[in-house]
Amino acid sequence: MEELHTEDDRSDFELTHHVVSGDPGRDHIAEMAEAFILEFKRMRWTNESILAMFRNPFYAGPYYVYKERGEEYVLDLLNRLRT
Amino acid sequence: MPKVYNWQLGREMDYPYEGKRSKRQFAAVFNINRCIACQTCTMACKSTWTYSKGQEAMWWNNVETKPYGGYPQHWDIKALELLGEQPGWDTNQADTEKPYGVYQGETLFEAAKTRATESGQQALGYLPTEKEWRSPNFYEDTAYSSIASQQGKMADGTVLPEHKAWFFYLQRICNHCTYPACLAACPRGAIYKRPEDGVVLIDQSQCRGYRKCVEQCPYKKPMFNPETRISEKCIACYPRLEGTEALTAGEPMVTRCISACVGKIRLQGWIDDPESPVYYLVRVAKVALPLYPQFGTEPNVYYIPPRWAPRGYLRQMFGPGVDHAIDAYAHPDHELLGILQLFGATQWLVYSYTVKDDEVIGYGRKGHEVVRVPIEDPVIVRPEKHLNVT
Repeated sequence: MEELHTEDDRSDFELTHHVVSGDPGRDHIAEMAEAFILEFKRMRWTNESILAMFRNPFYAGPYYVYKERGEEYVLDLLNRLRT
Repeated sequence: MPKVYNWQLGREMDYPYEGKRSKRQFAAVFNINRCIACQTCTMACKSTWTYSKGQEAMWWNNVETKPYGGYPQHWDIKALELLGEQPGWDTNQADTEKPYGVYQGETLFEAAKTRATESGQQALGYLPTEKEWRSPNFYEDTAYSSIASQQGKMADGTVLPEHKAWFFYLQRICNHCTYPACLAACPRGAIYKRPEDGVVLIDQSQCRGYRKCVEQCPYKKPMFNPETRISEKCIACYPRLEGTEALTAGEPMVTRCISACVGKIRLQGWIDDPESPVYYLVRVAKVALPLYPQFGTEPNVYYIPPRWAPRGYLRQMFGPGVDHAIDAYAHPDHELLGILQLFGATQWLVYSYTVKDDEVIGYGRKGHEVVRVPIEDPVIVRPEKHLNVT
């Protein structure tokens, strides 16, 4: 882990911590996408409604997945994941 | 020092008092996967209990962004540093009574026997500075790090609103621990655990404001009131729990933070009653886990861990049950799916439940129905002109 700042240059409103890396080899984007989909499916949203959220730039998290992985990827997850 | 049994550690441990379990133990489960950090819980608590002079910096309920946020700042990093690196759990010894196995390291109570920084210290701890109490939502929504990125210190540092980095929200109230460090720490004996429900309270007439509870509670949930010069803490909304609030007609209700939760991420119950849905989540499905169980206080607020965060970080925070909990949550059985629908479904305290094919029914203290929720909710789509999009 890389140290970003020393005690000396710390100010109240600066982030002074270290990088906490994700797990190597784990696809965090996929897990986030699955979490979005399953949580909304458990609220009985339809695939169409969830896909609309992924397509909408207003919803930054799902839209990031959509932009990075594409619609086919999201559709595949929507069809595959079951509550 | 007496020995008490801590089921989260799977073994006996040192504690300054004899282990006397309450008749029932207050408990709650928070589903981190659903929290959006709207802070409605925080404000519900604030506007109910801590709106007076001297309580300005006092937030009995707070929601912090992990890994960087904390109230008080760095509380968990500092507690972990005090405890030092520990060997963790022997999971090979896990069974029904020891769901996570047997903890091989030291608790904060045990570490204090050899590493106490002053005489009389029962659990390793520290007193946060005023600056650390000042900003309860420090680093809210902070992934790693925009500043480092701007300074060229981190090539892949990212900024909101879009980023690749992980974070999650941690909802925190007093854990109403079975073996509270605050209670152990108090030289006045002013802190007690109610035998009827396990709620931990500070007797305001006995407290003299020594702040030993603030120092030794690893979760930093007792707080000092500079106006009254005595300490205060979350009271688990005990008038609601007792059903003595004016509007409840004698029926117990869940706490303000739990009933106000917009995302319906919280469920209150009893950890030691096999009929309680909370018991099922924690002891049967093992989908909800204690916060930093290695501290040794047997905390009674449990968390469904976030499925997207690094497992090593989560294991440090919630113990060795993380992988099973996430797997159970991602692939729930029918009973678990039913209980998940009870989260936020009613303000009444659910004592027991029945999961049927298509609905789940919650029952109150007298065994009467207090809530009925479909497991398969009907889908009602609003007309396009009313869609909540921009």
